[in-house]
Amino acid sequence: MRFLQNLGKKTDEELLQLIRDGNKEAFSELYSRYSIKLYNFFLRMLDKDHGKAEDFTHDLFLKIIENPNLFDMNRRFDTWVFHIAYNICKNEYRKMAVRNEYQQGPGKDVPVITEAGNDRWDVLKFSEALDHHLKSLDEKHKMVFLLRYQQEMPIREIAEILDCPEGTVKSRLFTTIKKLSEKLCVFDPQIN
Amino acid sequence: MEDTFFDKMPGLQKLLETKSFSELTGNEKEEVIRNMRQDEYDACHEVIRESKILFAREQKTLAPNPEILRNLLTKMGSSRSKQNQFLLMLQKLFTFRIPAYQPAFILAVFAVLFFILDNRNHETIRYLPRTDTVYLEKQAPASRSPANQSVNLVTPPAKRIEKTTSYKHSHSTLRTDTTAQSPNDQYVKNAYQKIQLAALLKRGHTASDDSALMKFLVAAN
Repeated sequence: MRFLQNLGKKTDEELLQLIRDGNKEAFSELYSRYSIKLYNFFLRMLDKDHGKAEDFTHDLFLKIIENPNLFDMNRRFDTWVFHIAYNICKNEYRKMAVRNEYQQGPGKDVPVITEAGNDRWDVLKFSEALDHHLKSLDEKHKMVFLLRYQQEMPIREIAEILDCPEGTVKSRLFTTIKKLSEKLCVFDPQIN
Repeated sequence: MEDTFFDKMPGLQKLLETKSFSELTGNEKEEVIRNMRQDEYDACHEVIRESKILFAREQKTLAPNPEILRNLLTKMGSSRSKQNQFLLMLQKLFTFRIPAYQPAFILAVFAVLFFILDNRNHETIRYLPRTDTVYLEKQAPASRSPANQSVNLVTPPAKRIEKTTSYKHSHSTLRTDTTAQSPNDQYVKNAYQKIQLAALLKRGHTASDDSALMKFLVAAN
């Protein structure tokens, strides 16, 4: 128990060093820090597909186990791990695009927010609407929005993950916020 | 509004994320109004706020299957045992990080050494003294007066003398064990040899005489 407490104080990079030496406790600690974040990120990026989100979370951690030396110790661990997550999502989007070309199924109905609670939004409906409109965005805009407001990452780190300038991240973020605000019809002050 | 709106007003992103329009100060409101409408600002602020609330709630409620961790830990153990210790050592060796200037310095040192040693190892051309054989076709001139000369009928006339080149004067290497003879002496000698030969032929000769005869003939010619 004391040993685990010590691991809790270690940085992600130090934990990864221990994982390289085959320390399972270090891996468990790193998993507890990032599994929920990554799982939720994959969920939003992949249209709430729980199966895929679990598979990709598993695959990502498996990569860490099998090739811990791939991590560049000069980088931050969280930016590195989300960079891998972003690449996984990009590959999945490509596959989905190919699949959609052959299987043009009927699209889901757009959830429309018609009623608002007395004091606050109906969270479930907002979640559905947000999912739907995030889906209509391309992965770069969606990614920026999720990294900023789901993972609460600074702009600089997002730029590092996406390999682009900070200005590009800011402009993508603003575009996404603007589009979502228009589509979610929350700009009516009477709603509040 | 343009996509680069956050660049035009750097503080806007922070304001949108933290304050509603009604919470802004007078100066902030003026700044915002210059770039966007109030309802637009409020709409953007609401999207951000609600999204943050939603995401925070999801982080608490949505978690991956705990089976994933168990599976990963099992794989971690098996992958460790599968890997050969030697391969691990190799991997560590090849992934060992050193500053870039160190290999660069070593390469530079090797390059300099290569050029220095290369210059030293050039082939040196040695001019070895080589022995030439010179056949003297001419008799050495007589150095003595005819009166002092003794006719040596036994000693064959001067043979071709092998001479080696050297820095010494050529005369010094000339073999002078035979007595120098004038052309007349030679003539007498040849005549004598012929007489001897004839005598031999008359008497009947043996194999050893033949070889002696040949020697005479060669010498005479």
